[in-house]
Amino acid sequence: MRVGQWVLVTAPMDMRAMVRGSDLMLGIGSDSVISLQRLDGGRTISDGESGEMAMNAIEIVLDGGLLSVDVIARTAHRYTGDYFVETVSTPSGALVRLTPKMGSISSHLLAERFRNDALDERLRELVRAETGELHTALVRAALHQAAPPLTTADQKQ
Amino acid sequence: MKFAPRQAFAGDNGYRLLPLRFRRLPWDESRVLVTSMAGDWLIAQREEFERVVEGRLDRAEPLFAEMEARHLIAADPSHSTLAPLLSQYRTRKSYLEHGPALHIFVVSLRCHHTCAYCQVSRQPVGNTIFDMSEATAAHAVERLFEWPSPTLTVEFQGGEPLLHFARVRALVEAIEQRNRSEGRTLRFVIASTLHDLTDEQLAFMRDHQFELSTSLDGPEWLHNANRPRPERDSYQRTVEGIERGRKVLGEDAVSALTTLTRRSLEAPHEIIDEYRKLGFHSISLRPLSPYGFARKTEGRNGYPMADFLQFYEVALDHLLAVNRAGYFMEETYGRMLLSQLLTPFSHGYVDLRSPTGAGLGAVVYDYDGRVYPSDEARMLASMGDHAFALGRVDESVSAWLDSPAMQRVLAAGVAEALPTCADCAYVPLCGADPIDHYARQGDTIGHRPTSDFCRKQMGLFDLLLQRWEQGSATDQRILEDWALRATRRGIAREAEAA
Amino acid sequence: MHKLDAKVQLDGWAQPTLLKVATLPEFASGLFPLERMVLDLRDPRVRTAFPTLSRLPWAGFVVNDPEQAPVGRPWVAIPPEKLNAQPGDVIEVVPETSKAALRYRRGANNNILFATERCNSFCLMCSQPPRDIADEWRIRQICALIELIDKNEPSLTITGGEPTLLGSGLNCIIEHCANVLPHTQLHVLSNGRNFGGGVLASSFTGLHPALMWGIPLYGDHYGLHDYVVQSKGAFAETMRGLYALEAAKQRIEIRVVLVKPVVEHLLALVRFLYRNLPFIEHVALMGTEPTGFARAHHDELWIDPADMSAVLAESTDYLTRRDMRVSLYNLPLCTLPRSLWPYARRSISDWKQHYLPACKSCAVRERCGGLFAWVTPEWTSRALKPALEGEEQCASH
Repeated sequence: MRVGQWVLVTAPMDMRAMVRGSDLMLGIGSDSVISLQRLDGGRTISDGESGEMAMNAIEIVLDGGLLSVDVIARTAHRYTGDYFVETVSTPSGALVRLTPKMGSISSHLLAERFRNDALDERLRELVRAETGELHTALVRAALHQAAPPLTTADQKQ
Repeated sequence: MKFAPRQAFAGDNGYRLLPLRFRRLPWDESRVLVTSMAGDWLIAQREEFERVVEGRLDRAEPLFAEMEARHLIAADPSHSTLAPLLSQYRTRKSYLEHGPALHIFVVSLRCHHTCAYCQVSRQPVGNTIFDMSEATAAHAVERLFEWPSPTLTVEFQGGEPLLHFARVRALVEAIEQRNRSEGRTLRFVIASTLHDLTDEQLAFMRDHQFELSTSLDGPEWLHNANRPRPERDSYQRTVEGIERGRKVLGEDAVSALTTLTRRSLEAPHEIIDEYRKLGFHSISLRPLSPYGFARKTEGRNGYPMADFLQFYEVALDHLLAVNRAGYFMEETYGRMLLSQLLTPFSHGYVDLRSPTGAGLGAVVYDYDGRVYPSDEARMLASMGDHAFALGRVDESVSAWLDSPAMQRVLAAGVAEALPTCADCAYVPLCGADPIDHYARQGDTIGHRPTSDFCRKQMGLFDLLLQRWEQGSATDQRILEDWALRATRRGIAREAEAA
Repeated sequence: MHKLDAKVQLDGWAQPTLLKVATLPEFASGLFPLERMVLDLRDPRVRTAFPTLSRLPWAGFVVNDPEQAPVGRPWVAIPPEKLNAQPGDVIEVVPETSKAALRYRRGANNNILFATERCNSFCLMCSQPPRDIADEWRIRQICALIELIDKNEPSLTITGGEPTLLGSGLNCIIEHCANVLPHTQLHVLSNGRNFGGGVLASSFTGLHPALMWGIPLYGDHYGLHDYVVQSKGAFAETMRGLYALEAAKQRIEIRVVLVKPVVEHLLALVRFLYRNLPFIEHVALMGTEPTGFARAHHDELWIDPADMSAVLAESTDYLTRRDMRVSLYNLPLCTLPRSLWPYARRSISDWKQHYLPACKSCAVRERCGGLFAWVTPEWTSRALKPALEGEEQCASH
């Protein structure tokens, strides 16, 4: 049980140290780190970079009012399997440029899919804000076989 | 006695979110799968779910009670309790309580076959230096009983363990002898081609209630193509071995699994029909992994994960048809995933756990005395990479747990903490495989968008959930039966490797 | 329906006394002290042996008529039409009120040890409305009663009110059962609300070899359960209590009274049981007893069992496929689909069991649990009708 507790509660915090410096990292939130290194030597995201646009790249404009940098970065990360991804800050939000890695990748309705995914990431951001600490406390409590003092009903015991 | 109406017990208005994750259904983007920390779940309209997250769900809506019951939200804290959620979580992770239950003894690397996809780096039949020595075996038995698990599954592997049966026999006797003072529940399994089984070997295995696990890739033409022997009769000998094994040890004592090559992917119906013909009620459709000779012959035998998923879908539908016609047959990996979707219990397989099963659920004692947290780690070592060797059998178990290899595994072994996994709706049901990610991507943490492991997992979860959710009542029942049998009370299936 | 007590003629008793009714077998077995037994002179064979037996130190004698009572010895007259007191039964004679009461009945389908009238819940359908009264005296009485119960009695039920309100008195009773009646299964009905702390639950670990707790749960969220038991916080307390009992290695049955709001949500409840309490041994789905508080709430509570068929079938199927045993209590067979007949039990205590005139010709009357004696038309299913000859075979399942 001790090993289990160490793994489930302490390891996530130690994990940050495991990501190598050579990766481009965005510190996101309090408990996880997104690594955006292209493991096959592809291009990395960098803010502000805007080089020549490739012929088959698709550009998506995103409104910063609704979608935070964090949300956009996490969404972009989901596409780094099939696409080279660049994000560029704009006065009103961000511009995301997606270049398919292979000709066979279908970019049908790509902008719509990206926006949908970004809206999902926004919901996830809300969930994380409300439940992040609770999650750690609950896991700890579960492994210690004791209820946490989080509900007054539980506290009466 | 004045009685109060229902509204009097509703408690304070409002609610808070409990840790939850969600995924839009690939087959219906207007709905989402929402999972709790412990793996309970429901499917809701995405619009409604958005209202839930934004705090705009009304108590009177049916969704409110459904989310409360699954511990996705909590209403008035003075009336609620989190005890059920904690209990569900402990139940799901109950394998953590006991330490490794699966112990693999590689008694020899020698083998008669030359399978192109061999993950083992086999050796020719005559090279006895690749046998496990008496001294190594003795140390391994010592280490075995240092683990606290009340059930120990001892699995003999190779090469071909029958080629060094003397070692198998000696180990069984030593373990049982030692167990007289330990009182653990022992299970013996042998992973073998079952070729050239002698009556003596069979009698010994019967006396110790062995379970036999063998490879059967499909009908004769496919099996022999995948698994060449100089005599070219692997299929014949396998079938013979299965029959003899059943006769002496019982009908249920022999199980079989496939390894799928590119050739195999073209024959889903034929493979399943072959298993049915031979009277199997369980089939394991395993894709290739990137180890051993499989890595070397990837060009010829390999295939993208998308192809495997397509194959699996066809195979699954054929299996459902077979079951509908009255013949029970389950696919073991699918059954494990369904048991996670449809039951609150942990499963016995070490392959799909978070924290990872490597080292925590399984240990491998190699013929040369080296010890590994999983079969995959051993395969990597045989390819020259010892990053995940825990140590040697003559060291203590605590030394292994403190080793850099173990630290490396643990640091990336919690799926809930890995990027992308952390947000995935399936994570409470899924697992971490740092060694697989290291082998495929060079990094234990891995990059999910390009991860074949992730692609396989998500593809299978999506497929099974869709078939269950949208299937006929008959199909739903079939899939549920797979899951429910797996977690049936009284059947202690403590640990297996899928 | 039988009476459990009656006004009788008696003499020679100083205070309320528990007594086992004895004839020749009870005498011969030597299992109970003669000083706590009354010799049953209503039995002709006993009368024949009376000259020999009379000298022994019996507590007293049972007769049909005061004239048959032996001179100078305590006696009680219990003719059959007054009270059905049989050999092996335990009666209590109460001199102040001149009453005899049946406290234990050999061969009955349901012998109750009544722990207390106090309760900390106020269920809408409570059949035993609570009274806040100091009744710890029951602990001693129950222990005395236990000593006179047949050693081969298959099972006993401890109920109330809420038995855990007796505190350590409940442990005493259970331990006494374990010592005196080691082969008797013990079923304790409790709302489980006092077990959450863990200390109480663990006090029962290993106390009795065959102990099971029957605990009601009415919903998968507090809003429904707390309403049915009319107590805020009850659901949370009961859930915590259930986990404490599990940790203390106690066996648990969940009981669900099928009142309308519960039935409307029953499938969700059984799913909740599987997902959150997979360790429970048994689920009892129970028809409402139309007495006590239930009568005041007919409109909120009543749902015709005939309208529950689909939900009951689906719930039973859901649980049994997941290896949870299910029983249906208090539901006449004619109100259940044939496929559920194997799960129906003759659960109503025989002394309060009743059949309607319509039941006279029913082919399965012997297997059916019938109805509660206090049933009225508004608590009777429209589906009530006798099964025909040939319908006795239940559907294979």
